[in-house]
Amino acid sequence: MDKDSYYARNLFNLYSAANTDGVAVSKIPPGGILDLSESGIRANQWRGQFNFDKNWGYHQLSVLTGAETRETNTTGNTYRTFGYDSDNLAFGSVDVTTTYPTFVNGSSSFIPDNRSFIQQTLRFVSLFANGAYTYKEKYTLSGSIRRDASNLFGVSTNNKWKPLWSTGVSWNIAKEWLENAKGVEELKLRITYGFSGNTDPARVAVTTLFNQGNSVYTNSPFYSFDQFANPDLKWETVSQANAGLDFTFLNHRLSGSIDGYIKTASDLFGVVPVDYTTGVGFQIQKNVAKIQGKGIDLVINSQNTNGVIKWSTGLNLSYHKDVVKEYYQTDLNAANFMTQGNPRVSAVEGQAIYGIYAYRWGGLEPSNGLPQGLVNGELSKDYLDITGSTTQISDAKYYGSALPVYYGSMGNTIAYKRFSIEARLLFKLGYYFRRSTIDYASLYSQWSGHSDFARRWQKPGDEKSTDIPAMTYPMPAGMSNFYQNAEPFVSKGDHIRLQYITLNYRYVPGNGIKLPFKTINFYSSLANLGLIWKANSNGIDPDYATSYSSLTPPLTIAAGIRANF
Amino acid sequence: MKKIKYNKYLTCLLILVVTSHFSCKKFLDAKPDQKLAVAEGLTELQGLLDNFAVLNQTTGGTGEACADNYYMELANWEALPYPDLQRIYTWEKDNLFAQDGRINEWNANYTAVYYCNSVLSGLERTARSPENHATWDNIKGQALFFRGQFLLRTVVLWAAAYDEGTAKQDLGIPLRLSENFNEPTTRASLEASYQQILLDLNLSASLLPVKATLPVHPSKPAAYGLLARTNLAMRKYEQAGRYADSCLNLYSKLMDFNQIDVEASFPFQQFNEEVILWNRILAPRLINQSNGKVNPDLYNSYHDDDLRKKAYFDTNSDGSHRFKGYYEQLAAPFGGVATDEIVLIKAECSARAGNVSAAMLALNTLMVKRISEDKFSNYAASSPGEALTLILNERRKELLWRDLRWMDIKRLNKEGANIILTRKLGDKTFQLQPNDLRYALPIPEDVIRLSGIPQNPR
Repeated sequence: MDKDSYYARNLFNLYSAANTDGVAVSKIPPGGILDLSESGIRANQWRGQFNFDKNWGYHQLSVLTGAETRETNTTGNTYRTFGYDSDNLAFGSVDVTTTYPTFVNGSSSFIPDNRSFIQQTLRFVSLFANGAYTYKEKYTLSGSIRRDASNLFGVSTNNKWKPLWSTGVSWNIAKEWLENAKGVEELKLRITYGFSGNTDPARVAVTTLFNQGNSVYTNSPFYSFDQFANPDLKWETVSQANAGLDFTFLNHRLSGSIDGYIKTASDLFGVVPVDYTTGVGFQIQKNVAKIQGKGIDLVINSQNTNGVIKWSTGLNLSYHKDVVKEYYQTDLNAANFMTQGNPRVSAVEGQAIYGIYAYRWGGLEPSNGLPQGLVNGELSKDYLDITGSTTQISDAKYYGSALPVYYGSMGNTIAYKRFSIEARLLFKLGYYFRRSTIDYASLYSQWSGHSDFARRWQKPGDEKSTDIPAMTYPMPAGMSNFYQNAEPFVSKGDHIRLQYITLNYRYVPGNGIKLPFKTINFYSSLANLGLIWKANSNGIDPDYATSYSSLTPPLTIAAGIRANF
Repeated sequence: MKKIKYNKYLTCLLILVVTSHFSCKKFLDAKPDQKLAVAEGLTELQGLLDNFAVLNQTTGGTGEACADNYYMELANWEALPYPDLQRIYTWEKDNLFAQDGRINEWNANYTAVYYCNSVLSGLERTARSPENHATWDNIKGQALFFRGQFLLRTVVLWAAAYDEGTAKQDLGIPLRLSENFNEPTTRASLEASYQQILLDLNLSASLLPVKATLPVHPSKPAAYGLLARTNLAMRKYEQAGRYADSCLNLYSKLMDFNQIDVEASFPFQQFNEEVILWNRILAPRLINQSNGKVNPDLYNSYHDDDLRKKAYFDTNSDGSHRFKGYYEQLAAPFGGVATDEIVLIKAECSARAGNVSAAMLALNTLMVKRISEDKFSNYAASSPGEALTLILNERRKELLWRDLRWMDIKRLNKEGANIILTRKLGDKTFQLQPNDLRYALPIPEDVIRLSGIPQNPR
């Protein structure tokens, strides 16, 4: 930083004091402040693999096995020089081990020295094997196994290895029965079962510490806790059974697949609030639940017309529904499940894993516009009570999943001679989200506003048309927390989005025409076109509603030329 | 022929798997970050205790915010950004502590206790040898000292004043003494809570060195000083006096305010001569310089010859006063152990034992350094009662913004002092009667919910 920069001048002045002659002297040498930092990354990767393929008679066997290691090394350092002069490379010294009175209010503090070193090493190892045996090109038995490890989990842990295996059978129906059937190119049935175990980075065998640098007081390194070893934490295990059908019909005009699956995860990790008398902070990773998910994925690609106008469609449809089967934790206070931002694993059996809950709402009080809750059907304004242990999760209103149950996209391409146009629609259905609204607490402390402020209750009668509480100061305890998590601020997230439109002109010079390229494309595209339809009436794009300050991405228009030589 | 070929493959594969497994062990033992370590080994354990942000500079001061050294204007009270802060001022029966992720004093105290427990467990995994035993003992002493200190802070806030007759039945505090955080939290009796604090501090006193390199680290006199304070809170005056003596025998330097620029905006150095153990309190903003105005009765009780009147207070533009006599050289309350407090404990305990001359001698060693030197004459008393009144009066005037007044009010009311606390906000008046149940502050409600321990009776 230059000697005239605010930072350098401020620091110089801050540590100035009048000496016995009444002259201002600073503990920092005059001049600029030079922060030099340096960093480097080195990455290595090594892979060894055996492939084995063998055909004999009706039998076909292929096996692949191998190992891989990766290492990334990051090093760096930062050093600060005071009183630096770039004209003659002069510099000065400071004493960073003593406190000095600062100029403004006389309180004492250390001179910030901004020195640090970094050395990080990340290592990964994988061992893997895949094998498949096919009989008569119809029946296939396959299996794969994989183990991954890394040194991520701390300095010394017993859980570096993560197992992963799957096995499956498939049956080529087309080959079996329909070999001569017209219009059936492929029809294959697959069944697979897979298992994987997850360990969490928080799972360390011994509690680890992190060196925070040197203490300004003792000039020796001081440590804080990095990860807490929790002997009670178990592996999260996931098993998945999958059945699928691959098909290609009508001379490849119609192809796709349909898959159904059931997925069960036991000992699912989740963040839960912890009694901080334990001394390990406010929340901790625990095995919280057993869950089950079921779903269907459908992919269809079709060539609808194949003449002068070529029209093709690609369709993806997914249905996924998951429910909590068992919840292991005992604290069922509704407040734990009403976080702004990422929802927590829900506690109610039979409800979605990540569910949206809200405090029951009794409207605004007609005389003063204060929000009212409902406790056992009675109006209540005891916000601390509502947001405390009075409202258990079973008392709160449950809406549904925070994640879309139906998800899909459809792309259409129409080509005419050298022109083609492509458009893609995307939809998400069957879910809910919590809208942000005016938060008076942050309005008062940080001046952060919200457009809902304009719609707030201002005079008796307004409560008929708005749910935005009146501005009150001082605000009753717990009010902010209550109304932001109450019913009026949950909306359906369903929407359909037009993702992009691309227009393309492709020119391939015919034989005999000499041009410096083989093909040339002129294209123009429009992206982030916004929503075509949405279920909420507040004008909010649910994909960008999680944070107070997130913006929807702007419409992007691009045009270009692409040539192949 | 074919068979041999397969065998070759298999052998290669086997070699690959086996070798990779052996070399992997070492490969994967590398630290992902060179700054990581494990809680064993004396350097690391001392490093945990050197985490001054956890052990020396901690969120606290709730007691001071509940006490009567200051008052707040209605406008300032209304402008407090969190309802829990407002509720502290009027001693509401519940929700006095942040439960929204901000650190509250319960959290800060028990985080410190966890550090101490981890150090004590780490020591069990670290061999004590003829070469390292001095350091080993010192670390153990430090951990026990800090655990005692934070448990004492906790018991003073969240339990009723100690009463020998009922302490075995009275609710105490959770005594978390192991690093296993999966152990459920329970509340010990008040008697067991104090006994644990005394045990920790006594053991630490036997292990700690007479002098620490810096007051950042506990030392023998610090442990004796805290034992004196603990016994004072229990109204065991004989023991308190003895521990005060043990402390002062090892360290008894006092600052002479005649030698200090009392007009300075912060007259006292951070590690001044009186500091035996340093602790800075990150206090609730109720008692900061702009919100917490000095109780006028308290201010008026200082004689003009009393140098503390200038050293401790500055006048605001509206004529009210703000406190500036922090032993920190900045506006943060000092929460450690300092000689002035111990001298006053010695004086008080001597007076209570009926030894007027010893009591007045102790008081005068302090007062001669507080009163303008040309105006000073020895304080005198003719009876133990008179001596006690004088001493308690000076104790009140000496130990401001030191997080000691709340403990004093509680124990003195048990002695029959009948101190009634009063707050005024606009036209509303709030009172806290002696020995009210609210003197045991409500344990943060989220802790009650998550741990299932009983709340203090309201």
